[in-house]
Amino acid sequence: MTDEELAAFGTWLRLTQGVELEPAALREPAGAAAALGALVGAAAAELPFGAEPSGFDAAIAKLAEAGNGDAG
Amino acid sequence: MPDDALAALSLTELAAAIAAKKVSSLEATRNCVERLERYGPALNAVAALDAEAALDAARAADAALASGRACGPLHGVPLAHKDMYYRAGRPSACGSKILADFVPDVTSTALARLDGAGALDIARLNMVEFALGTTGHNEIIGPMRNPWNTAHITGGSSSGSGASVAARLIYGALGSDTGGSIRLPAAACGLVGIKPTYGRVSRFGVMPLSFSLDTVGPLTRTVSDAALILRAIAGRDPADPTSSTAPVPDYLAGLEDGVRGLRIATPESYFYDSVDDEVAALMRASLEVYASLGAEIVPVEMPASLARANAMTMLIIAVEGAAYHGRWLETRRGDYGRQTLARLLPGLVHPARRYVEALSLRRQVIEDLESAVFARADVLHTPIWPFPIPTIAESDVASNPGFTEFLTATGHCTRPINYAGLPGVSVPAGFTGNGLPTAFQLVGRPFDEARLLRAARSYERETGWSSQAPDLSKL
Repeated sequence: MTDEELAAFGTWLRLTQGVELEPAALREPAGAAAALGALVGAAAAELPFGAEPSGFDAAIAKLAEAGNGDAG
Repeated sequence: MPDDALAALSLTELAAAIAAKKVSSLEATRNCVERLERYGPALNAVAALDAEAALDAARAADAALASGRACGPLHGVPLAHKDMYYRAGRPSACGSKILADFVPDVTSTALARLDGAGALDIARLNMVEFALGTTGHNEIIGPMRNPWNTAHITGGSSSGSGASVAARLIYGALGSDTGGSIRLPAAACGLVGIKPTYGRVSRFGVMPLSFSLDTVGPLTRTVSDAALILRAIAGRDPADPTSSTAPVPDYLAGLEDGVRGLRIATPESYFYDSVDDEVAALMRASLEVYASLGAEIVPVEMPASLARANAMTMLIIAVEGAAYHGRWLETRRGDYGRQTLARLLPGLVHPARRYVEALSLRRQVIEDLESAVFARADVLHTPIWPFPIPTIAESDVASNPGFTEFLTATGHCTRPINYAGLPGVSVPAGFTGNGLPTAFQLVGRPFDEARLLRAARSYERETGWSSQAPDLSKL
């Protein structure tokens, strides 16, 4: 990120979350967020329309049910 | 009973000895207090110990037993827990400077259930700052030290729990596991550690880190000990809406039934991507033990989606952690350790869309694991630490360049299991050339902890690693 982008990022952070951070202090977290975000974004391209977090509960329940009867 | 022999008893053995009035709770507790005071500082394992209160509680337990009052399965057994389990009126610093003076006004459900089972809670154990770390480093209170060699890390974040139980300072401890924080210290210290299924154990009254991923469970010397504690703390709790209504089985029943016919999946990808040769050899040896006991070893290819789970987990922890820590990130940034701050700050800048996507992708990972692993096998066997347990010095990455990569590597085998919400148990599997323990992980279907414990017990009985103890004479 350029210094200008970091400064803009700092302004956004202050306006939206009330957190004051010097642009230099934002370089690392912004970089980490960008790297992780890119990975998640690439994976999310495969999500079907309408997918949402509660699918986790349904998947857990289904897999648990598949194990019933022979657990021990 | 001589003090060393008393300390060498497992939790299960001690509970039976107290119930049979062969050992008093006072004897056992006094021995634990003395060992916590004598060895705790060298391991940096103890946050606080109230010796008089502990001894009073033990006397009360003995009096109850003598008067014939009903006693629980852990009656009079001294335990101590990670310093993030709240007890009303008692401080809980969570390994931090920020909460150094925090006194909760509630008691965690897990502690209340252990109280109900008759256990004593005699000390608070040190931990990584706010449970955000895999190694046991803590810039606020200093690193915790491994009793097998104090130059080495304990693993984290339930570091004091791992060190104390392994050193026989206490008979068992609760930890928490958001990305590996029970299994990593259990593995590094030669203990059994259970990360239960998401929702199996109430998190009410336990410091939150990531509500989508947090789980709580025990670190113990033996599988039976772990089963005893899990049985006491598992089950629905109205105070934790994420806790499950699934019935809690008797984890001790069937523990000795063996693994004949059990199908154990061994991964041919992902989990061995960067595993050290020495660790890989010990993993193969453990599979050979299982095969000799009648288990069927089933090679499986891991789904490609699993490779993303580590990153997803780190993003979810950062966002949910930053939400919890928001007001302190605004006003007390200088009171955090550098690595803790470096892990929380990205949570302020991740787009909300990415966070929701990271959560939405969990379903796919579970379904992929079902078809790749659990359609063909009963449990999955993996490494935990991909390399021998390093020294404190060589793993002191703080927030230096590369710390994210190091954290990613240490949690490579554990974080995906949190992401999928599955149960995992750390099982001691011998020692690497540096003299430090290593372990494998057994992963099961949701709420299949009983089968994992049975498989773990079968290996434990055959190999006896759990009976080995570190030499504390140089502490």
